[in-house]
Amino acid sequence: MSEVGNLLIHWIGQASPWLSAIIITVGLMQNTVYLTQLVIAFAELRRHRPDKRSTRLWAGVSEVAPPISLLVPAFNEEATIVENIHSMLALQYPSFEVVVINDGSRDQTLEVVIAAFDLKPIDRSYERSAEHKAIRGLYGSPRYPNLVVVDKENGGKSDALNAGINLSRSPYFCAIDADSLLEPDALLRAVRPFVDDPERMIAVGGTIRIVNGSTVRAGKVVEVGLPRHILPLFQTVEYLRAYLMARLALSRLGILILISGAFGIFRRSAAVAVGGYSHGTVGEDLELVLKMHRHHREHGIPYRISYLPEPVCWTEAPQSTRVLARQRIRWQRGALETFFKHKTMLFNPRYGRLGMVGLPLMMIEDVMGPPIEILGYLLIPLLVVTGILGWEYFLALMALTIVFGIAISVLSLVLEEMELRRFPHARDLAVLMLAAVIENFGYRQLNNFWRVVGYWRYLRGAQGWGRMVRTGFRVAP
Amino acid sequence: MAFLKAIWLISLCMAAASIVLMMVLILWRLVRDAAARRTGKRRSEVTQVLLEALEQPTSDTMPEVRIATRDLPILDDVIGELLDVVTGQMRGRLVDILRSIGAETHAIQSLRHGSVTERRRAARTLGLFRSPAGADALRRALDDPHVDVRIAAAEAISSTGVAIALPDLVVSLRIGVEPPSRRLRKIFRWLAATQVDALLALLRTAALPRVKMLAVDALAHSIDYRAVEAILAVSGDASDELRAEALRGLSVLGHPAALPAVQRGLTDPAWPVRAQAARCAGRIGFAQTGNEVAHLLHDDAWWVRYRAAEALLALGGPSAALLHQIAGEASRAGRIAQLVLAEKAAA
Repeated sequence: MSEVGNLLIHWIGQASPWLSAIIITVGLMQNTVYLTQLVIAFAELRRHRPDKRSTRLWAGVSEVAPPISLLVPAFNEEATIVENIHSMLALQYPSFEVVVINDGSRDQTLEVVIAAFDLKPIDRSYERSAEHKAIRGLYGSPRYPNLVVVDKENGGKSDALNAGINLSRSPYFCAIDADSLLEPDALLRAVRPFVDDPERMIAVGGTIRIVNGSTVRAGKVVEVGLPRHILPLFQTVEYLRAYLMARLALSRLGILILISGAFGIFRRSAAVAVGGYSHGTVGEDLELVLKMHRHHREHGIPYRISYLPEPVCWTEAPQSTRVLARQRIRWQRGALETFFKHKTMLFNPRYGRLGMVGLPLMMIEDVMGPPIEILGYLLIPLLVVTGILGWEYFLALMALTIVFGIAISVLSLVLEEMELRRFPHARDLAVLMLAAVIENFGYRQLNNFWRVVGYWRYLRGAQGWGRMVRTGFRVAP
Repeated sequence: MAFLKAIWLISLCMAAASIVLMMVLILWRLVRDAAARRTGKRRSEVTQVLLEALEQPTSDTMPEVRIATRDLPILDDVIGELLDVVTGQMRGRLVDILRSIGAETHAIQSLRHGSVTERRRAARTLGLFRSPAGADALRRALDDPHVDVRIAAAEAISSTGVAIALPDLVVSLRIGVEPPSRRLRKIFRWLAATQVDALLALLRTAALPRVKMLAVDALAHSIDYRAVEAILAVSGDASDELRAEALRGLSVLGHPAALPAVQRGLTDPAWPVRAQAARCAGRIGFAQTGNEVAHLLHDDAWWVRYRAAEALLALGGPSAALLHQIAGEASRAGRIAQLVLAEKAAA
């Protein structure tokens, strides 16, 4: 063996106790965070069990529910946009408008919407409070007085949303993906925190659920089912963990920093105060919420940002490895861009619990977690095989990744079943439990690998969203 | 090394425990599903019994309805469902039937001993009965530890006209101390139907702007012109929000006595107040403020410019002509005038 090779082995031998200690410590920290989140989420669900019946919600809040503008950015959505707009116009909510923003689509998105809703060019006065590319035209129709379509030059999702913010007239806006389906009562449920605490509440996130395998009729999920493909099934478990466990717990602690771009309601003035969505990032949803936190903390303005488990938005999960990889790489890049942009908040007491707990948690989960876990998979087995480390290290690595991973995924499912029971059949629970176990053998590692790729792309300064291939909802006959 | 082994053993125990727990829950779900089918059947039966009683020809005698004691908890849900669809005289009859089967007594007990959801539902149910016992229970519920139950009780009290001293309600609902729910507006508007004098007194004596704002909103929606003077009195308050609320209230009342407050509001340092003043001028039709409103087309705040343009159009006559004239200018004022004119023409 060459001298360099010997040196390398020597160095690894010297550094291995430290590297293994770091890998084990980060793994322990991650699992402690998850278990704490589970306990907090459980307590929170016990305190606020959602009312199943929307008629009661209507009776309770419809008279005092504030107007909301639904902002729907659309880029090359000609296949589904008309049905989705119909479904949005049919939402149960006393006062809302739908603002569809055609972000320079290259297909017939604008044309099909104009034809379907008999739209004509209109003028609408608006305040240019957030930056966006030029608007080419506005369209409306007396037949659909609460529908406005904006045609603008292509500038990306954040740019389209900024145009929507400017054109919206309501004190609140709801950002929703054009390919997502809102439950009919989702707005009514999501607005509740704004009704209860209108002075402080600035943003509310709802739950995103995977529609693959469910039956959709007239833009509405009529029968909840499980995905038939393995990747969307794993993502169902992942979403349960991310929303029911993590976001609920972070919301309870007042450090929720991500409201999904697919469904969130924001106070317009609070979003405008931070200049709306940022350009040049693929994590615009995360960035907006963090900016809002930061602005309110820096100016000493009391505020709240909440997550609710019950308002549901259905979205299609990628079922091909390639598309999923692109999505996860993008999410990781977005997380890193936002984290490093706001790194001065980290461990900064000026930002209270957000700086001392919220950002450090993000550092453990998004910044340190993925590369260290991958390093662990590569290094520890090698060191154990070469006799540098004892087999206990390998067991600890497996415990902290796979075995604890199983426990946490299954416990998220336990939480769902104990408090919400949204999966209609016992058989679904059994399938999900199995998925919660299996996902830790391969899928978890693949995910971490994609996140490390995202890391690499972030470091290289890559841009762009990548293409999402939609397979379409399963439509009822 | 023992530490690493401990991690392994703890993780194994946790994973095994979580799987066992989940399996128990899956079995429990099977049991629950069977129970839910039975409860659903019983609920249908209870609903059927109530609907049949409701459909009997109206007479002096109350139809005899029998509901098993074990089905009383189901009633909470059934009542909620029926109330969403039954209105008018039928609703009164439903209330009589429910009282005869002991639903009121059950609701009083639930309001005292139930979970938060049960207490909230019970408060809503008790609001139907308008009985002294129910009213007492609702008044007690105003001191409930959970805000949702307190508000549900206040809604039941205010919607049914149960006598309650407003200052006591302000204290019970911790208005001004805790974040103000929008639902308080609904409660105060209902109270305005029977308690205008008390609201006027509250507006005069309350110390907190939040309480005064609720009173202003409720009084404005009472359309009782005694409120005009009281609202005018707070239209120059130090709180921006209260001044804006006062102008909002005055535009609802639409009384000509609001003119001085509107004129003052048009030059207020706070932009939300100026926007409300412009809106109020347009709604009430204060044509004499046309020039002052037109001046606001140059305001820095977009909402003020927009409301001013809307107001000029609403004022009509010379004011609308002024708006058309300004629309010809190549300025910020001209731009908003053009767009509002185009928008309204399209509408």
